[in-house]
Amino acid sequence: MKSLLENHFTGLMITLWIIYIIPILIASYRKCNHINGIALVNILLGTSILGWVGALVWAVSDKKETFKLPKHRIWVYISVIFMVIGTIGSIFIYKNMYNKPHADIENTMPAYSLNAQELWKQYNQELKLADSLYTGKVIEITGNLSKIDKVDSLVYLVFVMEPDPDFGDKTIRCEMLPKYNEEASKAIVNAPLKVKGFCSGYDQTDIKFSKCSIIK
Amino acid sequence: MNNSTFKSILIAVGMSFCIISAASAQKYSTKNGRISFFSETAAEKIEAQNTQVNSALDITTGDFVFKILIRGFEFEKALMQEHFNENYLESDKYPNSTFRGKVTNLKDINFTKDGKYNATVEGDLLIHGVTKKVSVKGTFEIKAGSVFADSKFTILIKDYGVKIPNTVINSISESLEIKVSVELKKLIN
Repeated sequence: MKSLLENHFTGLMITLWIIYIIPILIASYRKCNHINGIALVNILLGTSILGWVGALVWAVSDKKETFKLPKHRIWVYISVIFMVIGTIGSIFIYKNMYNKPHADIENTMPAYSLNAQELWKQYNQELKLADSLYTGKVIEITGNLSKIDKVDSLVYLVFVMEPDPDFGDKTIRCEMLPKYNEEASKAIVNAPLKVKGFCSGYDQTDIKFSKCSIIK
Repeated sequence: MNNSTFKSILIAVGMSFCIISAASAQKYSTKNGRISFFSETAAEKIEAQNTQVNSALDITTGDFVFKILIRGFEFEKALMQEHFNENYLESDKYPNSTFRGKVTNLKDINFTKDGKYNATVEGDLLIHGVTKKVSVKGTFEIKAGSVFADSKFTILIKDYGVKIPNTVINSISESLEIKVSVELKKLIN
């Protein structure tokens, strides 16, 4: 089940933008004397709800002209153009910001490239500093592969660092992108390997990486 | 029997006790525990999952530990994930979350016999730099030598000092439903 906003976003935006220009439409329909002022207040101050209410009150109470003047028509055109641009703009922002895609880790330049032992040493000696440098970033590490773990449909390349009484070992643990599963399964244990991925941090047992790829 | 023989027998007996208790200190653990959370309001559905949770259970003492990296939570929407890390959980400042506690009804669970047992776990839950005592109900399922621990519970966001801006206060629920599911395997030393 998707949320209300997601399912009806376009409809919601069109409705909101039509509501936004209602004072101008009323002013034009009533042939208001001060349509220029009403329209400017509506467009420029309409986002503050007070400005919009002001424009609306003005539009329904303003003196009428006897005849429809060009300005009454022109403001309708302007407001409709304004509404269309606003709607398209909001949909564009929604698609590109609200619904922006996840970072493509595989094709991101690594922020740092270093040796597995070195990364381990830094996280253990200066956790805060290492967190600020590496956690949440794309990192490339080189090391001798210790083992390959398979859990459900996921493949992990593991660099074992120390023994651990609770978990068996302390490691750097790299969860592979599914498209690298086959290649990772065939990786040679004890041979040097370069892996790139998103570093989620160190939990005092493992430094964890996700969305990893093998670098040749 | 002279004194020194007696002493050495005593030491030998003492040592064998140590060895027995060390051998029976059985630990179960995983590095691929799953923790997900869920919140829903009319405007927004929030769901995230972490599949790399470290968890260890000592079945002789009942000690139960979870270690979670906040950056390891994955959302469907990248923007939500960004807000979660940067604005709400402040994962640069508080990258880790942990639970350290004990199974309080250890005697009701027979870890050598397959079956499903109800369990209560009590301990300290650390989120966003704030530690709170929690008591959580769940189940242990013993199957083929593994321990499957499952639980579902609710936490209040404000208990952990997570601030939600007024502009989005209506689209984010005050409570989060947390689901824990770990398959603990016996640790072979």
